[in-house]
Amino acid sequence: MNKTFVWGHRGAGFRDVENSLSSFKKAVDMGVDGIKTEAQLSKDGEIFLCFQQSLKKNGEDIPIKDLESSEIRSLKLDNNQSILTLPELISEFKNHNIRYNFDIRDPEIGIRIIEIARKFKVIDKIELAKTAMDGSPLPDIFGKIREFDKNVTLINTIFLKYANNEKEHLELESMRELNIQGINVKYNFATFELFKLVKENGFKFYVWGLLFNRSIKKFLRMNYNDQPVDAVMSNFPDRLVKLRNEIQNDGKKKLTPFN
Amino acid sequence: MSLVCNNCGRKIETVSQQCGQSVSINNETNKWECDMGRCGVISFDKILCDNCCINSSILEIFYGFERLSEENQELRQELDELKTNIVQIKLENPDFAYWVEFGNGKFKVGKGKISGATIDIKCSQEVWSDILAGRKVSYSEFFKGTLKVEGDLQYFVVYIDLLELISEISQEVGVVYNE
Repeated sequence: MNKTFVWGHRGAGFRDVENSLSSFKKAVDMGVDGIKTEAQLSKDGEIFLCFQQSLKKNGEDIPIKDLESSEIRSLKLDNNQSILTLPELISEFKNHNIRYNFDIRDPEIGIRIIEIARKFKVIDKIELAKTAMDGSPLPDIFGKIREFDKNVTLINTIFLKYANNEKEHLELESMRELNIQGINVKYNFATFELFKLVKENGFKFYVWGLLFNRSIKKFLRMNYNDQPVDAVMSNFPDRLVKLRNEIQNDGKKKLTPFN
Repeated sequence: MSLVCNNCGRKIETVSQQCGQSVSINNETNKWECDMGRCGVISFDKILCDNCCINSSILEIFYGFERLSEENQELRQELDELKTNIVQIKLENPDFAYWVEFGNGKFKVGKGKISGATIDIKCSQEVWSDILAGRKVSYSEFFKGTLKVEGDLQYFVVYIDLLELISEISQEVGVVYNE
């Protein structure tokens, strides 16, 4: 059986200052297979890794898209580190076999990520995901991106508003048309029935928001036709890695979700 | 006889049938009392109207969670992992406030307002009762606008997940509540 892929959310989000270089390093040291975080686009076209859509400048909230890179670089995280750019992240882990999954709210952000990833020759390691706070239909966020790049991995995160009736909001037709490869569901609503449906339709099944040991164990043990849940995400990635090694330790090499 | 709610001061026009059928005098206190269902057996001078009774039972549920957090090892370990957050819950119609502090091994509950809350949750008593009873999903209510959250949404999600975990453990260890 394949192993479940482990994503460190915002690095090791609850073990360090989220989205800081030390948090990303910590996650990689913990043994994650990939880093998942949010990406924002500055006014001058740089990708910054932070979840806020606006930042405080002189006490005023300013959208990141209206700030120049130099202005964003001058702002510090709680640990006094700078907000990382995508090239900085890729350069930092160029010698590691790490994948990257970015939540995007706008197709332009996705396209810019693809351009940077192509330049750094890591396009095969990139995944772009719709955010759980975004209720817009899949073609709105992924249509232009798919036109721009036929192969980049796209992930449909189910809008949280529909968390208790995801089956009616999977947009399977759009997923097929746009070649969206996976579905990402908040763990509380990721039932076995939904997992089975997603796998039977040929998509990858991701689970996000895992924190507590009992739910981590549940999803690491879940399997259908000898296929495990494809990927799990947590702000406590050390817990995911440790429990996966205990539960899925069948001696096989770790795999990426798209190998 | 005129009954007034001991909490909000409103006149109680009718009492529940359950109360009406269980009126008795407590020999120890020499006071009339009745069984008010969710609020338990209470004397008439401490009687609550239906709305205040629901609020009181919501608080009781959370005090139950607090006790469980002290007794249950799994829950304590999970609370040890989380950083401290203070959640202020403000219910409307009727107004009622309480707070929960969780993280660093603790789950503490108190009535009223607290300063320094990291998350503010505001909704009607009906919506909150339905969420606690599993009849409504907090995230859906948030996007519908019937539940408002101020503060770091990520920690609101953690708080809701934590409540779900506590409810699960409560039911496993036999501390079942029915809102």
